Amino acid sequence: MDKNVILGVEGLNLYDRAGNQLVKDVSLSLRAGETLGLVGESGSGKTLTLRSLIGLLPEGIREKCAARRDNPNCAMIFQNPMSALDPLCPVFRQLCEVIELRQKTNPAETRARALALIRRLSLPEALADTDRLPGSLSGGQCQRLLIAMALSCDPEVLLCDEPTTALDVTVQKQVLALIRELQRERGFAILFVTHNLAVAAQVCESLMVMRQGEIVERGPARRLLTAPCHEYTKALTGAILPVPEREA
Amino acid sequence: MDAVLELRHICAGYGDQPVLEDVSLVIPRHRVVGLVGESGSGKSTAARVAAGLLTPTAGEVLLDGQPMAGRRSKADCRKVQMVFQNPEGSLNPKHRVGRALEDAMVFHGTATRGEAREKARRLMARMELPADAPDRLPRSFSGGQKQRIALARALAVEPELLIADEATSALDVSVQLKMLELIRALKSERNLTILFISHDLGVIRYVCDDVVVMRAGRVLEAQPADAFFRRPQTEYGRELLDSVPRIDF
Repeated sequence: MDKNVILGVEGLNLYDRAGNQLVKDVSLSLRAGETLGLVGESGSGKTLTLRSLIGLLPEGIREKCAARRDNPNCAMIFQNPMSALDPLCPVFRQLCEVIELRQKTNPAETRARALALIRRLSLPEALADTDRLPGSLSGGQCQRLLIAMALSCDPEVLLCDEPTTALDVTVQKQVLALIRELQRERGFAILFVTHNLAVAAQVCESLMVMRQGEIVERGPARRLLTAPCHEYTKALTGAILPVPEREA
Repeated sequence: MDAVLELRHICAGYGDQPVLEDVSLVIPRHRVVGLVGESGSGKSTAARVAAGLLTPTAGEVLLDGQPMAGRRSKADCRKVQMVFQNPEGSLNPKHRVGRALEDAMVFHGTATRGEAREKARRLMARMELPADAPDRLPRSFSGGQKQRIALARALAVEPELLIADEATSALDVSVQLKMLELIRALKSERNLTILFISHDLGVIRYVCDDVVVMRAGRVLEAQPADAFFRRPQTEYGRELLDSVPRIDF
């Protein structure tokens, strides 16, 4: 594998307990600052591939690969922000715990860093004084909080698994804009898994399309969406129901 | 205007949690009315009131011009049928799927037991399901097929109004497109009247004649779909349209 690759795998195969092959000969690699989208429909193996990269495979999945490059400095955000947080622990405290654990900071510094992140992600600063449980925040706020936790590790790679699928469109737009801005500011690489081509196009420079455990096409986002080669990519782009811009 | 269903100044909620506040909505005959809004805006609650599944605390529901009060009669129940987001919930896992259609037809008297089998078979064939589909169990179908079976079940009793509540939201895009094409074709074949609920504006634009926007339990605007997509009347309508992720190179 190229020495510039900071996270990647070659010839990845995944099988379930019954021996069914779920992912077939998938190779992918990320270089510093690269943004890559992994697009496919349900059951295509995109989430499993992502999880394999950070050793988060569910129990019972067997894995074989030719080569891989692990990176301890990955952070991940998930589809359902509510279930990724501890429902019984106030959110500011959860954020502080992550910072303390990863950065080994003293309490005063932990608090200062947490506050800075809260501000950067436009979350209410009042959380630092009157902390609240995840249940009393909106879905969009919970996802911002999870992004804050992910950033608190100063990741080299941010893995995103359908991070806006559970959010309303107006909130989705804000979260996507935020991820883009932060990527530019901090220069981390992104691996973005989604079923939505239009969402992938907002964040990623290059895309990979998966179907039934295989990668059927990969390339720069613009080329792939405007001039798809594989039949399946064509079917996917053809199924997008466009909403034209409104009149000004 | 001939309206199949009309909600007038409806207030409704669950327990002491109010959801709908003064919602008025007209569904004209032979039109597809799209109901859009974000989660928690009250779209599904409005649908439940329309279907008679939830009794409003204030306001009036008119079905075919008749006010509905208290429990609906069997005849009125037939007139409004629903398709939900999750087709699993509409099908008995132990019954062959044809039976879901046949039982509904016999119950509502739109066919005798003898006729029902043939009618169910024809309807399911129209939904582009395999010929042996009526005799199979729900688990042998894909999500998209199950949703088409749920649609066939709803249409089997010849409703005046079909309510589709996020009926394609759980489907993959290519499967969703097939289902939407089917709904569009059936609409003109059978002169259907549909209340189509979705949070996806692309889907709404593809199937709907009219658009109603809800937010926080209220109706903000209602106008023909072309007009809405060109010139939304409210700030929130504009925000919704501007938030749709687009592929623009």
